[in-house]
Amino acid sequence: MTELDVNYFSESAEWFLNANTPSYLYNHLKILGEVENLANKSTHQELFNICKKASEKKDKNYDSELVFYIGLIALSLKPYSEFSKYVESLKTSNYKWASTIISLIISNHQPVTTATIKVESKPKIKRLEKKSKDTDDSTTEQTMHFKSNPIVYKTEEGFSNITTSDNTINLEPNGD
Amino acid sequence: MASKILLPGERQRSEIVIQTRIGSPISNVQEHDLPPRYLKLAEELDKKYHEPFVLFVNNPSPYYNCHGLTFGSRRSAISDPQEILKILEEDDYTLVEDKDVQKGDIIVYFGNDGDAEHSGLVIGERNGLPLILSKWGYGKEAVHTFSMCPYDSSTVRYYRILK
Repeated sequence: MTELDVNYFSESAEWFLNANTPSYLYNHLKILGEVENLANKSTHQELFNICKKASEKKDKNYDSELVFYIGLIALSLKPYSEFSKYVESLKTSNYKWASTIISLIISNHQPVTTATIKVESKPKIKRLEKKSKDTDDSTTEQTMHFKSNPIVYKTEEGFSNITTSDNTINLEPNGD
Repeated sequence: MASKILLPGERQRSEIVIQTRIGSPISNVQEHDLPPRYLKLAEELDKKYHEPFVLFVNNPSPYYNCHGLTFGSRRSAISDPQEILKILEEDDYTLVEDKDVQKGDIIVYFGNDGDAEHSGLVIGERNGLPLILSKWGYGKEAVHTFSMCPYDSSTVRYYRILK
């Protein structure tokens, strides 16, 4: 299957008609039953072929654009590992919202970027807990990692008298 | 201006110069013809959205969209939400509290992701709710209460130009 009949995608066509922005179209098509059905009954290769054929049409029109978006968004419903290698190549399709929708798809699937931060100092906060009726534990020790040297210390409610020595911060409970 | 030769069935598209007050360009696209399938769909929206809540006016047009109506005098379609934020800032729009909304203000509908997915003009009130004139995508313009439309009305903001 490399071609879709848009007559079977009337709901998609209505959202396409009403769409003012690519994000609106993407957010509505990805939850449509007719798009989900297409994703379920097609392989990622078939969906990619639908998009590719629509993007290679010489006489691009509204229908071929809609077919492209339906195929693309159905493809995005596949596991990321299956579609990730295909979607980037579809950015050059010349359909006006293709690039934006592909960026939205990728950003919705990729894990949040992680960064390794080199910590110059590792200050320890020794917190002297207020004595509680419920517990006998009177101290807790936490290690906090800062992006850079801490500058502002805020006194927590119930604690005061911050004293620092080297990299250690002592929060002492209020007397009340 | 040189015209591109179109293949049969190919869409005619163009872009015009639209700028903010301080001269920043606003990207836009004009489409010239809407095929029968989409004209029919636009007509059929009358069955889903109808009076007294929604009154469709004008004919469907692909030349401009909602943002093109609100910010571009119906000349072209503005589809990039970042451009809307740029217009709001560079045209010096001021946020208006819901209780202070009046005719002539504009309304912007923000989606869950912060996307400015729709906009329109406040033209009055009905039952204490702002009455909006807006354009629905390629379709018709509509007069509607702010929530009677296919756009997320849970986060709307009103703006006014004060000077």
